[in-house]
Amino acid sequence: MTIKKAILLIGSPKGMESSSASLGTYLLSKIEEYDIMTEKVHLHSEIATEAKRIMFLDKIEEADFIILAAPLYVDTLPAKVIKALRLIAEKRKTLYFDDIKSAKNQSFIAVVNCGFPEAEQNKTALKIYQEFAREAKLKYLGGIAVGMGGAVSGKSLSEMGGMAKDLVAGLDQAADDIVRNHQLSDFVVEKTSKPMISQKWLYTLVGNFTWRFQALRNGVYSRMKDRPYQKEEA
Amino acid sequence: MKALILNGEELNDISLDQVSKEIRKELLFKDFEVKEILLKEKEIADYLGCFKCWVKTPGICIINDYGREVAAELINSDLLIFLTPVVFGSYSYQLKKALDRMIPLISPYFKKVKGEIHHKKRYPKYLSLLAVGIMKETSQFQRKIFKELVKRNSLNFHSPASEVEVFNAADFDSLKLKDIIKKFSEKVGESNDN
Repeated sequence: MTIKKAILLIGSPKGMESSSASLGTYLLSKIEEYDIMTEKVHLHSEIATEAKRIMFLDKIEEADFIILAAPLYVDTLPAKVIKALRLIAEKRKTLYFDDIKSAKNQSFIAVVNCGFPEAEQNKTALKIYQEFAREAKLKYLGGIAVGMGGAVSGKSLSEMGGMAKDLVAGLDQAADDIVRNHQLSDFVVEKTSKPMISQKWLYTLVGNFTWRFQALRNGVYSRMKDRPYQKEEA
Repeated sequence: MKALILNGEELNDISLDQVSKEIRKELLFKDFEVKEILLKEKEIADYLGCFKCWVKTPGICIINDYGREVAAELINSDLLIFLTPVVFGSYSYQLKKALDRMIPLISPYFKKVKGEIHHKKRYPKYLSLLAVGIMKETSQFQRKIFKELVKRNSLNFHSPASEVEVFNAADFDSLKLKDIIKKFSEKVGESNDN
């Protein structure tokens, strides 16, 4: 029996310290429990040179499950993720242009997180990922949208306690759906998009406080509202 | 009034030169002062996701490259034009790498806009946004996603007005584009109190 492979692509420039890494790593660890061989890569460094790009595209071809965990930047995919996905789609279009049947039965799953409280703000990005999967001739198993990414900030989900309870339950089920090559269930979508902090105002209050605290520590609190590019009206 | 065109043409991909010329011509006709930045020719590093432009060097990206000049040009314009190939319904890498670096132009603080949380303004005035997407192959779904994305961006960029259109590269309709610019240019300069 051939052992199946799953590859996690971390699409945050912050790499392993990011919320994307926390979410993706947890999901990958659950997939591993089904005796799937796993690998985790940081997209930004994977496509840094031509030699690395060739190796990266080979890794993609070898995987049965491709999981991308990335932040939401300006309502869509981070620039480097667009670049990487375009490379994958172009390569696969060349490989399977005439003969889609020869393409390996590979699946794609996207996990997107944003710093806003509403997971719904990731919806446009998920549609973009779905289109990538279609163009790259990958089976799209679905997307996971997570809000309040700031509450994760690189922490391990298993250490977050009750706050991450729904998220963890959703990701556990997602692993099961993925290894069966099934579409992500409604349970997954519902649980993973639930706010980690039930009161939106509390999340934004803590968020605003955190910015102030960091600015204070850096000695720039009084300059937080600076407008360095403001030109005087003539 | 000032118009800034961010041209996201990709390396070794379809040329946006003809569309860009049409946009410039029409804007000049409407008395705009026009600046175009062909992003693939500029040194703009990828966004780091560090948020230091909010808590260490307020309003300025810590990366000292052309990204800073784009930010300064952008916030001092009245009309911003995205010109880009449509990639999976989104923007090209070239355009997006510049947009990811525009975070210093808004405030880190949160506020509610139309029931959703967004970031507050840093500057008193923001630009109207016109996005022109160019597709190699027709996809109604990607066209819809692109339009949805631009509307989302206009919320986060506090744009007083926004307009978006997608054209097929093979049968680019310059008259339609001209008409869009003509109508939209009349809305430029309005304020947004959100």
